Amino acid sequence: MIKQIVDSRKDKGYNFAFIDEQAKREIRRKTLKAVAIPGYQVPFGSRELPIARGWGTGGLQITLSLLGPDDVLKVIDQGCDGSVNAVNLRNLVVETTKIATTLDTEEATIIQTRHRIPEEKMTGGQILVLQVPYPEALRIVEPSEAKTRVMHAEMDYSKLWVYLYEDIVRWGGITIGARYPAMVNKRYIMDPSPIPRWDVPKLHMADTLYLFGAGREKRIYAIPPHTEVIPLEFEDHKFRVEDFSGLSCGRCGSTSSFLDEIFDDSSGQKTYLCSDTNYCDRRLTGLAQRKGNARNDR
Amino acid sequence: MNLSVRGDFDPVFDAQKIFRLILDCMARPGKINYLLGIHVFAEKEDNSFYLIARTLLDNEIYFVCLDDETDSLTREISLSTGAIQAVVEQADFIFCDGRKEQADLYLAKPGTPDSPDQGATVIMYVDGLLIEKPDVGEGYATIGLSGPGIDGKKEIWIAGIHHDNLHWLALQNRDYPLGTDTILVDLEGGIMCIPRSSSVTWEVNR
Amino acid sequence: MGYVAVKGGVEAIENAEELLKYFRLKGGSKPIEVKQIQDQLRLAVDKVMGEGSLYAPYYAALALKQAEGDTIEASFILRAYRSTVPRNHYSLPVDTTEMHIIRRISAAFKDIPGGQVLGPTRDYTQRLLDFELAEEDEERAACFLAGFLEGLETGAPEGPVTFSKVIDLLREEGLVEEFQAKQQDKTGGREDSVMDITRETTTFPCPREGRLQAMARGEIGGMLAIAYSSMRGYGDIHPTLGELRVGYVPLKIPHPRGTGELYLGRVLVTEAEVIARFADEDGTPKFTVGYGLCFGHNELKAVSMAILDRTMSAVEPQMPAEDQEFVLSHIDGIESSGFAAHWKLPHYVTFQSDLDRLRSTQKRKGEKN
Repeated sequence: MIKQIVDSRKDKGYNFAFIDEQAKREIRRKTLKAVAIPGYQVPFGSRELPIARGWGTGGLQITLSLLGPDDVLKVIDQGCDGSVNAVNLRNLVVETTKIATTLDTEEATIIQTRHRIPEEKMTGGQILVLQVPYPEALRIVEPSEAKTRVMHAEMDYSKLWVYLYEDIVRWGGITIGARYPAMVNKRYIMDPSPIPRWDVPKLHMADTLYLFGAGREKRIYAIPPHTEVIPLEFEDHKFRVEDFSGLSCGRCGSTSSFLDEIFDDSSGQKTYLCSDTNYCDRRLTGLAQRKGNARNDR
Repeated sequence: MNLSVRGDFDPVFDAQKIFRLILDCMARPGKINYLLGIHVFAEKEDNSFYLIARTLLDNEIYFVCLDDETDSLTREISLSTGAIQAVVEQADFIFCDGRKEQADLYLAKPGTPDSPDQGATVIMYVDGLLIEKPDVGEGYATIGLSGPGIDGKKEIWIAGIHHDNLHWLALQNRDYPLGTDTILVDLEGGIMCIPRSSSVTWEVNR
Repeated sequence: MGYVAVKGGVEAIENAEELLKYFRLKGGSKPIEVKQIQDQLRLAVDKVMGEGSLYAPYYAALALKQAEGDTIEASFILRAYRSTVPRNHYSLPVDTTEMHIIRRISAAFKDIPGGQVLGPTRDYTQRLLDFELAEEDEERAACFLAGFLEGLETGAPEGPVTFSKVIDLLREEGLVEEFQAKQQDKTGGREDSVMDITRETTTFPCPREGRLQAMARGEIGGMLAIAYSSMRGYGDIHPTLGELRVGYVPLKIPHPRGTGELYLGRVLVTEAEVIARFADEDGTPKFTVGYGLCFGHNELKAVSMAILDRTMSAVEPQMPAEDQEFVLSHIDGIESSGFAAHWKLPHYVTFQSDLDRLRSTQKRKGEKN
């Protein structure tokens, strides 16, 4: 009897996009609320997936609830399509949907990403889904979820401001690297996921819808297009993106993209390469937008 | 994105397409998308309501159809989605005819300060959603929208909506982030969203 | 260098899977049968069923084989499988006085109605490595079984074997708090509104049924550690083990067609009730009670759960074990292990960003000095 069950299970396919329709409906309802209240974290009943918690299950659940047969999906991790985790997530989606995937930022209708926003400016027809480990920007100053919810409700962000101020007193500047908190639509402070500061300005008044999913922490939040997203800063201590002045990509020569620092075994030298591999490839083939999202105004 | 012309509803693929249309509208208040093609009901109003209900409702959800005298829509939604009929104060989804005065909309739940997402979603039927100013002489309202999802300011026009409902629409988010989110549907299967994040101004043209 | 072609990533994953298989089999011993795991690694199977939140002994054993004995990994596999199985029915509440007991003890009283039943336990066994087991073979096992069963009545007992509970005896005397009726109907009218943590997000304060559900699928190591902190001194509930039961309970559902009940089968569970320091919430001082119940034979878990159930009912939490949010947010093994493992993923973008901050801070400090 058990053997029959095992055999039937081996042949049996899963629902389109793996998760069941009831779970999708819940995610969809919560996604709509997240869009209607930009920057507010909507709790959802995050389901278990065959991917470990903390490895992109929140983003993945959003992506799976969005996808239809007409979509073209791109998955990146650290800006790279070929990173093993990106490959793993993409495989799961393809196995359960048979939809088309691409490495090309321009071609994709949905991009799921961990830690980066593509260098090339995304369009209104695209949705970027970001994987989020810590949805709560206030967690660094308050460990309790019950309390941070009240802080958001009351728009009481003084603890975080004090934290930033003390950071400046202690270190002479704000030391937050990635996950730089930002104020959304003048109402909610939100965690933009561990994207570098480089990417934070891309959230502001964009053409694209940004959806954020935290599977382990069971939260969905969103930034609609054309929404004000202002990184926290002081008059005398302005927000600054990472400084790559004087550096360029060792492969495509870009001086206006986020660079990974790499130690070259053979030469013992440090070199730099674009973190967004598709951007780098497209520059090499001359396809990259001349005026993209990549900036020179550092 | 065209939906095929059919008399039934595919719970996987139709739900996905319709959700994407609604999401696109919710992210871009004032934008009109069309729920073409699936005709389960002869009544166009009921048909759009039905498609949205099938997409978003299930047995976790409380809903109410205001002014559904015959109870036929309520029954159909309840049967096909498992959603539970409730009073307006409890409803997660409120279906109503925007051409009539809907005073009960003021009772819709706006959520709580720490859970504003508990605010209701209102699905309201009107005669026409228009992105161009209609010919002079027809009765319509001019709606001004601004806020997230809108590049600057946007104007749209609605035909066949009761003015009291416009009044409600412009006021429902005065305690933002508390409030309700509205999905407007029209005769042509058009849908348009006005989430609580939008600032709404209106003016009646006769 | 630096750039991994997508194909490379795919190959790397495939190769890693092959290597896992190789490492599992390279010793050359006979492949272990799933049935053997199910029978002979009984307690590991029970742990996986509990934490995987699915009562499926054979699948739990299969998951253990696949995970090479790593119970957290096996629980994760089972939990993921669980999410693909439709939920067709809700069982009726189980009455544990109907439990077909294999073990039952009380630390509160020397003798209890129905008697203490020691059952299969290592509690009073000296923990010496048993070298005879190294020689165990099919013949010896068969010989033992025949000898053991000889002269024993193995037929089903006539009529139900039910034992009243120790706690109920105390409750009849008015010494133990009453069950708290469900405080309020939070959903406003739905009759079957028991919270379901697999469908709803946990918010705090979390209703008791939600706390118990979270613990029933909690990871034993995490629960034990937090419960231990309370027993040791970070807290003050002074538990006495009122009763610990292990046995089979019948599962029934409302008959899908028509009236009555339908018996589906039985599941093995462990139930613990601890009696804790008294309180006088309704005026009369009474003992408070903590409750634990989990799949399979897992006494440490049931006891830890009962203690945490009691600690988390603190009105004003002072200690970690009393803080619902602290306990419930950290005991799920699937979540904690997933997140702890995720640090193995590349973080070079965030690290680059941190490097940038450090260098600029160093530069600033250097300029100052």
